[in-house]
Amino acid sequence: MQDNGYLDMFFDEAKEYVEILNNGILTLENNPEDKETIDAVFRAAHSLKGMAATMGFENLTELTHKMENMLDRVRGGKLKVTTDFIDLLLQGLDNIQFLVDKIKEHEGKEPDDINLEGFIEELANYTQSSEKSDDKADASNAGDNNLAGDFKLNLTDDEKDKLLKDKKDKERIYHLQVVMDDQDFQSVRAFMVLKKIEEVGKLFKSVPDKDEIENSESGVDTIDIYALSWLPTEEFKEELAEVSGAEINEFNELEEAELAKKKSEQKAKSLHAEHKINSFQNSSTVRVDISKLDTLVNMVGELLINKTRLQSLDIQRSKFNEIMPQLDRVTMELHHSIMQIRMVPVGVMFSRFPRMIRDLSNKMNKEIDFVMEGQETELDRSIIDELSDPLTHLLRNAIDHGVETPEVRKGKGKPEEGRIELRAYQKGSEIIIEVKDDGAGINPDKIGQKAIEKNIVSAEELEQMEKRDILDFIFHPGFSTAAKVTDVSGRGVGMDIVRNVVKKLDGQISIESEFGKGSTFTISLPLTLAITQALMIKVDGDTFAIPLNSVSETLTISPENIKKVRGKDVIVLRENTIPLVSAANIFGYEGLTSYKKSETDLSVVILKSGDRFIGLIVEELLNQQEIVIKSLGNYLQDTDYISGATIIGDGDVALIIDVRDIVA
Amino acid sequence: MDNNLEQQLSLEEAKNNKKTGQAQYVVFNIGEEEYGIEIEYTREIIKSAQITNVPNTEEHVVGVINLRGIIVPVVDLHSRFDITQESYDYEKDEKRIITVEVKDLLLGIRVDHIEGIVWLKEDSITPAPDVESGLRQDYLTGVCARDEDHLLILLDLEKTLFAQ
Repeated sequence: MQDNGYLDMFFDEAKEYVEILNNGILTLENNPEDKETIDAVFRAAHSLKGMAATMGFENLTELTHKMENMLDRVRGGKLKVTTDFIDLLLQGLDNIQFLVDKIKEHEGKEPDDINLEGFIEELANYTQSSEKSDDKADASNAGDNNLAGDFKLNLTDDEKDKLLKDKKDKERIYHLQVVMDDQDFQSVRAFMVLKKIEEVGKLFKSVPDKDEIENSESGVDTIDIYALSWLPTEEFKEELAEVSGAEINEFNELEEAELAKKKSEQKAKSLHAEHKINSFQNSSTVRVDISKLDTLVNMVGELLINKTRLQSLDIQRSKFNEIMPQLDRVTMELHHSIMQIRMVPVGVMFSRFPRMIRDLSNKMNKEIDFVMEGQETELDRSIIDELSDPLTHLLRNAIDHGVETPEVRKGKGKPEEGRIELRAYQKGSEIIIEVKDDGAGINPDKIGQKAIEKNIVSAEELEQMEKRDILDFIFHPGFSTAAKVTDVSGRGVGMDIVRNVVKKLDGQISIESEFGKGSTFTISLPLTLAITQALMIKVDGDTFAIPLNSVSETLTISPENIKKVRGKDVIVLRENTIPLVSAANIFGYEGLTSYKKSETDLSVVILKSGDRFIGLIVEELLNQQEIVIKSLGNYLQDTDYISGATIIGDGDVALIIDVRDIVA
Repeated sequence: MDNNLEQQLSLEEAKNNKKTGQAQYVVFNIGEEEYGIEIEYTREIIKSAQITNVPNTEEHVVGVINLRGIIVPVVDLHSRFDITQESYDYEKDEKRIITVEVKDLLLGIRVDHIEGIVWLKEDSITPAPDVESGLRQDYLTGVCARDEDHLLILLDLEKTLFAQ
């Protein structure tokens, strides 16, 4: 029996490490030399192995151990990162994921019937065979080394410390050996080399040093140099190449870890265990179950409601007036902090996509350049959890229906490699997530045709419609334009589900597409689900709340200003024609319906959703206040025009108007 | 409120009692009819609070209430059971809301009067007869004759609340 607390921790951490591995391996594919990534990937495999061993998962331990070995060889420069190597690592990663899933399924036990020996052998074979050939290369390199003299890190512990201290955040540490041509003025050229280094970075140490070079009579044929520079390796080398008559013989970028580790290695070893415990204690983060945060949010919501009630008591005493603003401030800050805690960068969710795109594009024989931006954009945890499926679907669609095959693209005069962009950013109080491709785009005529076929719309209606409304049909249940059903996407389910999920999160999805050029799906989401500013209104005596981010403005109009366009009531506001609806009407209240006959002026709230506007006629405009959004629960979830409820000052319930429903 | 608390306590206490071959039912009135629901579904009995009407819902949904910060939908079974006569003998302030948890949802049922909690022997419950005015058979689990002209109608809550 496994202790459940440990097991949960294992799954949480395993998930994290798998993500690190996944991202790292994909980064390596593009930057095989990226030492930092190699190290990160190695460390992840190593930690995963450690955890697996502690929990007694033998298969997982064995597998991660083998992968760790491979990666270690890469670190040591004995193995090269090739496509085969990446494929093997990814396979390994899949196996890790598989094992972890199995362990989860079997409630903390590794099932016996799993046989990974074949794969593990493959790993071992790969390591061996490629190492043999690399060994030879190593040997010949070693020969060269001997010719040019010893190229070893030759720093004392104190020097290493100082070097690490001198190093600024993004600077790199280079250790190189420069050989002078066997010509005259060797020392002058040596001096030029050092001067050049000072131009492009900082000279930390050289053997011989400047003074020695200047005073040298016999000439200098090699210099050992330790330097710090912002320049990446290649550029740094190029700069040095400008000095004529001097050639770089050896070049190393030094890792901080290397410098820190190498001093008194033995001591480090014996302290290893202790160090591990330390890093555990030093960790400044806490893992919290999301449900505990939910409880906390609810309690803060309660507090807020009661504060509002307290405020509405309107007690005229100086002490009260002194305390209230304080209470106000504290509750606001409390609310703010708790919401902050729930925020997670979208990168957490994005990180799985590069792998998916890679696999899918290979499968579909498409070439895709996948770009992600704004991974650091933060969203409420609960939104992130819900959003990953719809985004997966949109991305799959972009690969399947969007980006064309290289041949087709070439024929159209587009670059053979398609481009899919996934971007997140904040805009006002909303988070925008875009999925953009430069593929085939959507043909509105075809969509319209299909909509008629499926009896969604009549031909006459279609003629009256604008392009964006026609494109909106793809969100209609049972609508699919894919010529053939693939297992990647397209069975007609999908886009409507995507829209439902987004709607459930109180967000919106829209599409822009230019036929032949590509499509962009834009999802906009509220920053947080729980608390928002709202405009309170009255309809037939009941109080309703309208989220302020959907309110464009409020007006009072005289009934004579209402005009008719195509049989519908509109008002003209600053040259824009805005349709009008009456809240009493859509809520099915009787009376009030003949607002045009009203003798008094009408209160109108101009609602906006996306780029559409609509005027909502209400009975009375009340105040603006902060509301805690509560769900109506599953029982009333699909109520038209109502998205939730909130509790107002007197403890009564006010319903929240679903602006999207009205404007759409 | 104190009254609520008492009733709540007695509900909880009652739930802890077990007798073999018997089950407890909360008995209430809608119109002149007497209905029973299994005590396991019930959470508490509260005085009818301020109910906020929710537009565009089915007829039997009367609205939502604020139950200590939780929004709870409230249904009224008059329309569900096509009972038109007005609350019969009962005073208006005898109306109560029984909160029940069905399919993981917390819902309130507004009733005209609470009769109490009764023990019913399982073998005293018979399948619903075919003739039950206005009541769809699906809504019932059975009936129980409490005395000669007194029929207790036992409700299948899931069907009553969720049938379309």
